[in-house]
Amino acid sequence: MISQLFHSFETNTKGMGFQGKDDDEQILYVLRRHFIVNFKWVALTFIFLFVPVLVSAVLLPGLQNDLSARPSKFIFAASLFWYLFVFGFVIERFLHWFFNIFIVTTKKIVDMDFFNLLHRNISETPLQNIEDVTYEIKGLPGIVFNYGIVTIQTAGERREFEFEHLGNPSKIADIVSDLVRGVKNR
Amino acid sequence: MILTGFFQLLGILLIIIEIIYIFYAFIIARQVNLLNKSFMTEFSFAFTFLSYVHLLLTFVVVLISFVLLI
Repeated sequence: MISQLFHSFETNTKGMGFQGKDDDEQILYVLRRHFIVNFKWVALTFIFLFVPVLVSAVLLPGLQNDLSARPSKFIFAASLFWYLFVFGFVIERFLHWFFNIFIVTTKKIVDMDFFNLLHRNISETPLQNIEDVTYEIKGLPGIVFNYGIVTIQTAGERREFEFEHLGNPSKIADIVSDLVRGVKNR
Repeated sequence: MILTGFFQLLGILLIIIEIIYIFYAFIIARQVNLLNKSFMTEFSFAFTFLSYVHLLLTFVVVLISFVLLI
């Protein structure tokens, strides 16, 4: 179950739901950006964890053991706050990845963008409105980790849905194309 | 003496930053609630729990800073 937290291509959608889902609608896929896009902030987190140790060891030698002195108390309080900040940073970054999703259902596609804590955007379009699905893989990381951009052209109000850093974009484009064909041929 | 005064000033500054941080922690908790409503998963409870633990820890850290630095 825990490993599901890190899936960028989720097919086991049991227990999942979203606002606006119809009763007769079934979630087929939940797609996120490739997990490798988290590398930067994960690496940054590990660096952040050592900052208080480095600061107290390099800048203020000899103060760590004297907890009665004001500088030592300050360092202790500031270190506590720093670790709290790192905890908050990890939560925010992880949520940013986890809730930036592209949902494919039996009826529509839903694009949930979570830009930051104060800005999110949700768009959806019925499958029959989809006119064209293309994908693009570019750059060395994209080729190595097999991620890229999937662009979906629609006849709806929002003309284009673009999903960046999606893992296995060719498979996703194929899945959406097949679904659209199936809906239009009904 | 100068060093002590300097660290006293830094302590006050730290507490001010921590108080501002309470709002950030509150926004995280609020946003997690909204996100869980937009997209429901089996992890909704875990996310909510973590965001509230973070908020609670923020208050604890502010309290510790007050006791140590003021």
